Amino acid sequence: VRVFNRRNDTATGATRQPSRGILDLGESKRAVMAIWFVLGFTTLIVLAIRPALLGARSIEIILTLSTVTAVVGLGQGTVIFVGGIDLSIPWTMTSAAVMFAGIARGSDSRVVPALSIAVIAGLAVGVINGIGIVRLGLHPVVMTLAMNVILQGAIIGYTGGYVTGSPPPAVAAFMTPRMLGVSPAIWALLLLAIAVSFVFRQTVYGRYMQAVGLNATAARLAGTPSGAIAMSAYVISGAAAALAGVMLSGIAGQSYLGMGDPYLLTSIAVVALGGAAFSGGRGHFLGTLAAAILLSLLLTVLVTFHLPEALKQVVLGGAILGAVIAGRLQRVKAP
Amino acid sequence: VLFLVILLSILAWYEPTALTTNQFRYVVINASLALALASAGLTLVVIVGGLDLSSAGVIALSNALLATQLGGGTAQQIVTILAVILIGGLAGFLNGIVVTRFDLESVVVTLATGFILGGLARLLLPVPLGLERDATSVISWFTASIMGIPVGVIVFLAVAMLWVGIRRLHFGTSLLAIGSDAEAAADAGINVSRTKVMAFTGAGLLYALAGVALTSQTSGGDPSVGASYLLGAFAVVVIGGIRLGGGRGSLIGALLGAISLTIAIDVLFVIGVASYWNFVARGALLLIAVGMQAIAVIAARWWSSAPPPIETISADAGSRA
Repeated sequence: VRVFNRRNDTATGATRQPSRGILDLGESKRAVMAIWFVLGFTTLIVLAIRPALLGARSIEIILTLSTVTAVVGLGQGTVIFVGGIDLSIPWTMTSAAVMFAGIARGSDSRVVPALSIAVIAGLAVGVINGIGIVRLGLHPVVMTLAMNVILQGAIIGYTGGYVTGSPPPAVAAFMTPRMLGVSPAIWALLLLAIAVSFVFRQTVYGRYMQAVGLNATAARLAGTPSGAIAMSAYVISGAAAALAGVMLSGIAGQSYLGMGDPYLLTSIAVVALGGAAFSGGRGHFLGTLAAAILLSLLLTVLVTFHLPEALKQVVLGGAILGAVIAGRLQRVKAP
Repeated sequence: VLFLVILLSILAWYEPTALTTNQFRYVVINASLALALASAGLTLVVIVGGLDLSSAGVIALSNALLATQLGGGTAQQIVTILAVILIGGLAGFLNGIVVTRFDLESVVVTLATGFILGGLARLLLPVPLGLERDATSVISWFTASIMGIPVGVIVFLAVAMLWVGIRRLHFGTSLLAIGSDAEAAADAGINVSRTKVMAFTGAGLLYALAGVALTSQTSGGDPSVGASYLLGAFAVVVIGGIRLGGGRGSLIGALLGAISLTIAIDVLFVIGVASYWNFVARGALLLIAVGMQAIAVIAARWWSSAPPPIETISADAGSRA
């Protein structure tokens, strides 16, 4: 009920509650604070056991890696916020990156058309997901899982298993340190965080989204265009995944099949660690952001111990499980 | 079922030899056994209104365990296989406990456990490995035949019989009741949590059994083998007329669905579609089946303004899917 009151107030311009700016974390305040605290604590531990890892250069790399995770997490988080889930992220990323490399063919002059086509492809994936889930009423897990496999088959068929072209140097430059010693991607992420925090907490659109996530039926009865809102979440996720795919190709210096695969689990892990509720309506991008940095840090530490890739999977799975259980216990304690 | 007949006739048209007993046995029974068992497991969870994404992990883990641990005498091999099945059951049990005890979304929990199990499988068996010949003496029973009847058929019948038995018990009714309306079921005196945990445990056991069947078929271990069963099992569940969201469906539907899907993939192969389009076909098939189910339900609603009796919907959906 509180949500609707606030929304109406915002909609009519008669905001009775004082605005708290972009740091208004709403219901997820405690969870978001918790993950930033964990991040700080982990940093201290790493500082104690592997001080070499936290030199300016490696912090830079860790942060740059986390931008990709954060962008994917933004898309996944938006979908989870409206009560869905997107399992088509890995191959949306790969498809976008492969198309990007294929069109740009390593030349800066073709960045703009290549990037627009990659992002449009991501948008299209999101629209199709949205139509299937919202209009046809398919289960999000089934729809996006099927979409993932269809994309996988289509892109393997399209490339014949061999990726041609390469991402242009401009993208690589975007992902490497330059501006004030920090890569442009990190600045962009900072701007994105501010923008997203503003949109989700301070605009009618963000309020609608929360209403749909908390209770889609009630939101529709109260006059929220819940279908369009849910649809927009999948579109955002598709576009974010495409963008992340392009960014990843900039880091890796190439596009390859299966490059998005680790990001299925990662995207869900950062949303879970960021304190979002998987039933929808609760969560904040600042939590996801902290979780993305935390994961990059942890994975970098794991790499220095020369642990096998498989252990990473186990650790990530365990982290998701721990995070959702902790989130549930916290809510039970503080109703 | 209609779908199955159409597929069989296409297959017969393109590859007349495929329907001889020997080929049929190989194509239908052995190739679909693992998928059928995995789908039967998923069906149990779907019926109580959950979703289980851990099937790939459990199958990969049991495959890896078998590939690395199987050996020794007959008795030792039997013990190993039983232990693997129990480990699958334990994984399912833990899923069930976490989901019910903390009242969490089954998708997230099983996704996480699925990755943990898949990671463990990869730790055990980083690269594909073939089984030694004398180590497969027990496990190859699964794809052999007893007195001319393939063991696969016996397993199929056993699962079907088991389901018929369960349906007659209080447990079977509870499963469906919880899937339809968990609160009403709880009001009616059904122990919802315990039944759900049992459904997840049963699913884990069946996944592990699928892993055993798979290992028997391939005589080897491959850490990435489980992945294709995740989508496959979902496709089968939908083709088998089991409603996602719970409350309706049977394990027999899943078994038939698995046979249909295996034949469908086979048909594509025979027609000469390149193997990567298999992925697309599987995904599309899944969507078409789900779409048909959705349309059938909407159509049933359209024709009768009153809530339609459940039998009408299921008959409708069954014939189309």
